[in-house]
Amino acid sequence: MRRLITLVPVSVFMLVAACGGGSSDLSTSTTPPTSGSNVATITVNSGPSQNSVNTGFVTVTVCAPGSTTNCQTVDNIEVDTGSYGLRLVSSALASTFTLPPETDADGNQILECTVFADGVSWGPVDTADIQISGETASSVPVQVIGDPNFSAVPAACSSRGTPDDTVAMFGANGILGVGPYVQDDGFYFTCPSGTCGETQPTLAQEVANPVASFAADNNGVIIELPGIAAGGAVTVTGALIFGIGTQSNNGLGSATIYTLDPNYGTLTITYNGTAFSSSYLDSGSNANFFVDSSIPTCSGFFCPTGTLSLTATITGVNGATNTVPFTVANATTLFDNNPSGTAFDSLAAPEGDSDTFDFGLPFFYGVTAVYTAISNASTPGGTGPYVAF
Amino acid sequence: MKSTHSRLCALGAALVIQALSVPAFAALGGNLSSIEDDQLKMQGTLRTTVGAAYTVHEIETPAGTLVREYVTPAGKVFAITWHGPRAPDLRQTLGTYFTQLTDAPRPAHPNHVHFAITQPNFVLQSSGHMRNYSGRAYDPQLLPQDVAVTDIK
Repeated sequence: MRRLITLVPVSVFMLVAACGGGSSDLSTSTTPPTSGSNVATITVNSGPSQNSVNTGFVTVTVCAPGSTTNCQTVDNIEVDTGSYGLRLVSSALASTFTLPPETDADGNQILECTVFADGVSWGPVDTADIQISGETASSVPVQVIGDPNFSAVPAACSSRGTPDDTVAMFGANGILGVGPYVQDDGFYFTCPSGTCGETQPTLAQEVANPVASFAADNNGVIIELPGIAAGGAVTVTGALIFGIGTQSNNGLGSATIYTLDPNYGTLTITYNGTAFSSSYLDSGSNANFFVDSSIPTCSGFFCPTGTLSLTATITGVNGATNTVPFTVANATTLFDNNPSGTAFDSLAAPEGDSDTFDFGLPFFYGVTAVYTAISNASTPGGTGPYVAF
Repeated sequence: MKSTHSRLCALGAALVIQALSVPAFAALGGNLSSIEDDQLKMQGTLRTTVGAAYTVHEIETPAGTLVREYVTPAGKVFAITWHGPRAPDLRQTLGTYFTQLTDAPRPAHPNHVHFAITQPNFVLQSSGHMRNYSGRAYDPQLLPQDVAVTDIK
């Protein structure tokens, strides 16, 4: 774990302030060594499946509600600003560790089919106290993925994609959804007498972003990751900070706020003259994904002959706008030249949706702080949902 | 949903939008005349956009997801797309191609927000996350000559 360099942030704040919505060089900043009871360490590495890139992990402790002894600490939990709630892969939990179930009015276990772009994760919804750094969320619904007691995935779920229920497939021991909403608005089932059907649990029973349940520091999160060398890094250490403007270590400073579409959590990113209206910043994306048919591809990533220096303009629903530089390197060259590398800030790939530009984890490296405010939560910079940097 | 509107507008003025009284929706690779049950299964509303090179059938599911099906003048479904808060039933919409999705190799690097399959007769690009899913799938071998991949939105 390397210590983070402290000298640059002041000048970066001045630079961002001076730019006032124009172009700013985000590539040279480093993350301040934020510490405190509201700070969890993010580590970017290859993860438990040994093949992750640009994926940030934290450690989370879950306990049976109210218990301080019936607890388990789970590392390698992916930090995801594109989802909501804590999901744990069953095999990462001790077989003796159990949590009380969320049930419907008839006492039936509530289960969830979580749909990801790459597959579906099936499993029961249980209740847990969640501890991250010094923060605790009490009695929050969480999903246990791949629970052997509920191994039969109903057709209505498996018809949405390939089951993604093991650590090896999932690439993590779990995922911590800290995006700009509280509930996951998910796809829930009960299976009375072994026949599964869709159900709508109460709002309080839906798997939820635990940050909103913290006693304080509950209006959003900040991700701080240092800048990395163009050739990539073997590991990167940063911070997941809870709360926005609630402590001395999580103020907005001179960050610009970009409000999000209240329903979809999206903003507009303009690239190459086209405005992509369904765009987002997402720590759970391992590359920057965008549409540019002029850039050659290989193995699913962009592979230009030389590194491209590009810009994209981020525009919030509130009209705040900023043009940010980014680079696109040849993915094969990046991987071949740094086979143990897990962090690459110039990794990019084609986006399948014609309305989306997705700034993934590569965007976060070297930006002083990326703020994600939760919908309807109040912050010194206004009400969420918004992102700020 | 604003993006839906812009996508529809982008289809161009040469296309005519009309309501169909008969539900007609088929799986990828299927014939329009042979399968007419998707709309019923999705319990959605249907509208059809007719163009010279292809016809677009669009179903909006009760969950608010738009599923579009691109059909050649001969009635063959060569592409489907989806956009919305809930991913569609891909077993239904991909038809015989669904096993190519489930049999596809896992990504070299785990990623829950993007997934792509590129095979000679099946291309799938799925992206997005909770509350906001999108994707498209097509058979390059069925793509009419004067239709570009970028037309599939």
